[in-house]
Amino acid sequence: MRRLVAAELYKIATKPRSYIGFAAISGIVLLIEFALWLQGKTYLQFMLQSLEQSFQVQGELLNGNLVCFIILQMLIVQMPLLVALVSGDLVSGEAASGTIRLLLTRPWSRSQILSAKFIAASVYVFLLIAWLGLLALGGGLLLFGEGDLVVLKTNELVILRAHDTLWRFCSALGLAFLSLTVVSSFSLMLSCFTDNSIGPIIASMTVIVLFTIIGTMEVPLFDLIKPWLFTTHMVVWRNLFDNPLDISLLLKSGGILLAHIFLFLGIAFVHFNKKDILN
Amino acid sequence: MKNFPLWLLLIVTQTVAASSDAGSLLREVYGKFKKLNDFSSEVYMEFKLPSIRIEALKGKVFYKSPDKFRIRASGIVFLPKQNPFYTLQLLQDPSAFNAFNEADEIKEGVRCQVVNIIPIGEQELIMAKLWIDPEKKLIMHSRLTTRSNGTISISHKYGSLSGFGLPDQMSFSIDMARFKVPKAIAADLNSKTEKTNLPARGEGTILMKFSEGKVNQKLADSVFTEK
Repeated sequence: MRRLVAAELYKIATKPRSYIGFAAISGIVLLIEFALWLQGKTYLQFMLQSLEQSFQVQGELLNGNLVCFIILQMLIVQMPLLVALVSGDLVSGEAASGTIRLLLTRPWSRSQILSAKFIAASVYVFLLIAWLGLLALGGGLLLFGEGDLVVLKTNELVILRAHDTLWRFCSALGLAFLSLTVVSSFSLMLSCFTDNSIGPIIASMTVIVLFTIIGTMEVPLFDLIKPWLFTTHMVVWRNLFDNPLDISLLLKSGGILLAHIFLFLGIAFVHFNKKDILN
Repeated sequence: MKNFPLWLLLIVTQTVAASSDAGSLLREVYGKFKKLNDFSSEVYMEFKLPSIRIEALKGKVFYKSPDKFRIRASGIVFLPKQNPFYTLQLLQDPSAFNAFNEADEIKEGVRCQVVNIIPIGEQELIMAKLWIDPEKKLIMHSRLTTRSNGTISISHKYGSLSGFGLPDQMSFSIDMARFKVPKAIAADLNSKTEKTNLPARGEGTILMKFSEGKVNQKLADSVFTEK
């Protein structure tokens, strides 16, 4: 099994599209850090101007923790595209290039092959998240230094002490990993149904965009379905920066995300095991 | 109308008496603070601010006469615009304000003499109302009405440094606007807009507890400028 996973990872590593995610993350993170380095204080002054009328706010507001939080807030929502780009191609790409028949002649069961593809996709997601964490938190702390984290919400401001932030960022990245694994299992599932790789990638993105729009719109009709959409729970990492923490909400969302992974993988396994390979 | 001059004389006499009475009390209050050249202590700060969640923090406070003040803390803190000893500093120049008495009131369990202070000329402070313990010559409570920061109420509790007019504990109540920014600016797109009946403004409280206070230690000026 380990050799099978290694082979799948090798396939991912040899495809140029696998590096688009890393390049995009590097470019966007560095751009945000540069912009905040230049004008971050103006941005914060604008946000906090109503408070500065009543108080003297003392302390370094613009610091590595805040920069990392802003980056995660902007990027985690956009990352599904980067994941779908790779995982949507795992089965259908082989079908399109004709290598799937050859692969299935090897002494591995179809379930083992699909498991190896899922594990390889998860490793890719993990590396992507780790790279994001390294650039956002590491780069942020290096450029802006450490300090208390100001979590901006629409009608609330939460200030977390510097010593209380590292575990929250690590947990947030862990939850982001879980969220993106939902996306990778979803696009892997779609990938089992088609013989071209563009379809699953575009379909994955369409579903995510649609679900996100439904989640953002405050229409009472959508309130019934919102709790069941995986995109609703993909942003739950933000709740790790609440004080006090809503543990039940985090567990519930984590559970729903896991359930989605099992559902999508279940469908993928059933279909892939029964699928006629005709090309 | 026949008694008019007598009536006017009575008012003028009473006002002058109240003013000189208030003035002498303020001089005695400031007399204690005047003995203080500098002050440093540990400070514990607690914040109860509407729409802001912030944990308590410890720090160090430094003061040097006449108006140098600094709180050194390792994190973000919300402080009143004026330094905590602003009310006492205000009493330094009696020619800069008019003071007059009001009826006595009970504040912090003490019968206090109430003194109103109105600065002469255009100043940030519009009016200060002080509740003073006439026995101990200590300010128990003060209310500052300012042009740009609204009204600030300050409660004082005294301990070992009361000889210098310095409180052990100060509680600032500040009128403030609730924090609110559009979703797009906070990048909080998935949050649900909660329909609340909360008013746009609320009262925030900052509590400062001083401990291990040291007075007249000849503090260097660099303490107030260094990072």
